[in-house]
Amino acid sequence: MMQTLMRWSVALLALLLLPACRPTAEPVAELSTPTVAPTETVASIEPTPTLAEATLPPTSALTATVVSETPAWASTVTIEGDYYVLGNPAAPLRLIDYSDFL
Amino acid sequence: MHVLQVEPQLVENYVATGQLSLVFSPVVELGAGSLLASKTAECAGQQNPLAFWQMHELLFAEQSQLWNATPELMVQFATELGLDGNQLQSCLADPAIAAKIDRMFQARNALGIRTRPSFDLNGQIIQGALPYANFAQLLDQALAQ
Repeated sequence: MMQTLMRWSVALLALLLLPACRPTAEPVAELSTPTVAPTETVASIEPTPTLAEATLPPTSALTATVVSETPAWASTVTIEGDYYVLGNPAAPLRLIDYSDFL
Repeated sequence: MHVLQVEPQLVENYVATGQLSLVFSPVVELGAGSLLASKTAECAGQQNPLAFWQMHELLFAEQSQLWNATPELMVQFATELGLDGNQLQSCLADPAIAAKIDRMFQARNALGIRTRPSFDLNGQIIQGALPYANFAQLLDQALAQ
């Protein structure tokens, strides 16, 4: 009889302790969630190659702009009042030639 | 000498690089040939501004023909440059062209410039023709300031 009681009490104790054991399993599940985060930080490296690619087009585009916008000053003539100005009208230097064709 | 020997080097080394602009102001002191040549350059410019400078170069290259020049010769020059000869001939008779040339000539005289040729480099008056090396020296000094 005594043995039967002991067995029942052990079984009861086990039943009571079982729910108490569950919380230990939950933190493990919570820990597993943050471990996913490093995967995301790896993904953040990806912008580097796209940045490197992005720097190339502006350089080549700038070069093209400089070439295409360089005026042919030796064949550029603007009219200022009575005069035909050859070259860059905003050039730092201007030479006026007072001459007779003869 | 200036237009045919010095100016091409100025154009190549300073105008083409955007550092220098050139202006030609006509002096008409040698009679009908002077005036006709000046009118021809102006009339070429009316058809195409760049043609003013092309005609200016051609007129200096053919300077020996200008003493007894005729409007017909000027029309021939215009045709050589691909300009409209008839339009140029009409323009030569336009009093507005003669008035424009006189205005520029008087403006030069008002500055007290008497020597032919003379140059004005950013306000610095240079009297008489100079070799290219001297011009280059003056221009480099002015650019360094």
